[in-house]
Amino acid sequence: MPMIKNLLGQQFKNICFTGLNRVEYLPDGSDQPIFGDSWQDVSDDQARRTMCLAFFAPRDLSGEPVDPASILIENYSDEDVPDAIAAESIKHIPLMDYCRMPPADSNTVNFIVVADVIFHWDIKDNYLQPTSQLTWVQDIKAILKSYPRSYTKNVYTNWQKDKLEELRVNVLPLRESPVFSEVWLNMPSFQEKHGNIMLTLGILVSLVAFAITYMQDMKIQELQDQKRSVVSSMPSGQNFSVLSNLIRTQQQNMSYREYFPFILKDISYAIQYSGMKIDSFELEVPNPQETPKNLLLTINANSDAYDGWLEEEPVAKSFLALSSTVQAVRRQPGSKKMKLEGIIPLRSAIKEIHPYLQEARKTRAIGNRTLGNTSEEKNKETGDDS
Amino acid sequence: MIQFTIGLALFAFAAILGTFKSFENVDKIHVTQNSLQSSMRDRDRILKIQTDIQKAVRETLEAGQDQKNNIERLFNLAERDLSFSFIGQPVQNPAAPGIFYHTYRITGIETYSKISELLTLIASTPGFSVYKTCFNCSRVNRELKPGHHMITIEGHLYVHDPRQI
Repeated sequence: MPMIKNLLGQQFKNICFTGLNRVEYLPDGSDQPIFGDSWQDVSDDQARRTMCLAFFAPRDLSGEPVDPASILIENYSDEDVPDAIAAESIKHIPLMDYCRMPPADSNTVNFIVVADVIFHWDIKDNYLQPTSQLTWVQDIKAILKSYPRSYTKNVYTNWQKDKLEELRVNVLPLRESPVFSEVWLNMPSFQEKHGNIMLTLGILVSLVAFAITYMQDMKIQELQDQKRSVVSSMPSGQNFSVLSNLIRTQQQNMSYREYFPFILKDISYAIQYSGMKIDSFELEVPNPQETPKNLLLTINANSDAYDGWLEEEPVAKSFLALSSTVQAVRRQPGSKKMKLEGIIPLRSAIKEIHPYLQEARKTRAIGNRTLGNTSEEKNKETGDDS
Repeated sequence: MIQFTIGLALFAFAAILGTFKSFENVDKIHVTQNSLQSSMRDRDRILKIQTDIQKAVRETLEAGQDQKNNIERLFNLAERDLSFSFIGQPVQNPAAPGIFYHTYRITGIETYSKISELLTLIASTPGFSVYKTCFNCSRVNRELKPGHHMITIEGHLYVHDPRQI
């Protein structure tokens, strides 16, 4: 099945048919043909840009198609260099050789009547016959006699169509004649047709790729500049990691020092009010090299103060109840005399003591101010400015 | 034909190289952004450490003042029948010699109320921390006045060296 590219009128604006000793030119936007002796006479350079040259080049004696230039260029010969230049001039014009028309569909015969030529083709082959504007209807009538009446008959022409009414054929304008790829001799390839689009696309993609990478490079440069700026603004010359650890340890070890005297007082009051008869007591951080979470308390009672657990237990319970900071106590096993060990969680102790510490600070501040005022008054009285 | 070939070559070259370069740049941007954020974190951390150093300078004793005589005068220990001594050598990290600490011990005979006052004074003196207090933990070979006890106070004395911090 031949490939129909398009209709002739849709594919080309200007169409020039070269017939037998005559050309028929269909200019853009007009169905009225212009007749002339050669295609150069009826078209100008502007029109040739959108023009196709249709012609009928019968096969030579060997059955091979003849060179289109020999049909389209007058007095053409292969040896003549100026003719070769002329042949180059038609290279860029779409050339349609109707003698290469593929067979028609079955039961169909098509006619093209143009430039004093009747060209028709059927399922077997195509045929060329000269005619004139006076005899063309009779010529078609004669040809149609060789085809059965059941055949579909299409006649493509821009001549006087009313003359064909009696023949009962489908009359169509030339612009609606089909264009087959076999007919179009110099049909551009896909590459030729889309070369410029591809070139433009390639340039555009290159520009876009360049723009994107350029912007990314600028972004990287900007980030590196920012980093250099940050690095240059950083203090240097110290081992900050080690220093940071040292300072953290120092601050953690000193964080509970204000609470230490309060805890000691709390324990002392608890010992005194519980009536515990002690020999010594000790309050310490379990491991001085580590940040403390608890304090350990050790209380040694007098060796002859208590006789057995029955006497020791009430005293220990009383001590535990009276202390606000000691969370738990136990009697050290194995010792004859009473030896209590207590644990003081620093977090809860600090929470307990903190309000009193605040109060003590206020009192101390008021005391300092009062002392300051008193000394100032004394200085005024004695006249001692020092 | 030549336009198509050149265009296709340009298209392919730009697409392949552009995509490769673009992905490479995206990676570089991520790496540089992470590096920048890391540097900013380091800077903030160091600035915070510097603030901490200022605080540590206020909270610790200046090097040179960590002498036995100075401290005994500071706490008025001679009048209280107490003695001050350093235990061992100061603990100093060679990587950061600007801050170090001593371990100290105060021993002697004193009443509970005086020791309580002394502990409060120690707690408010820059650089001093207490990690152990003991009443009557050791014995003396003489008769003690009523209300007096043998006491031991141990702790750390933090010192900063202004020339090295």
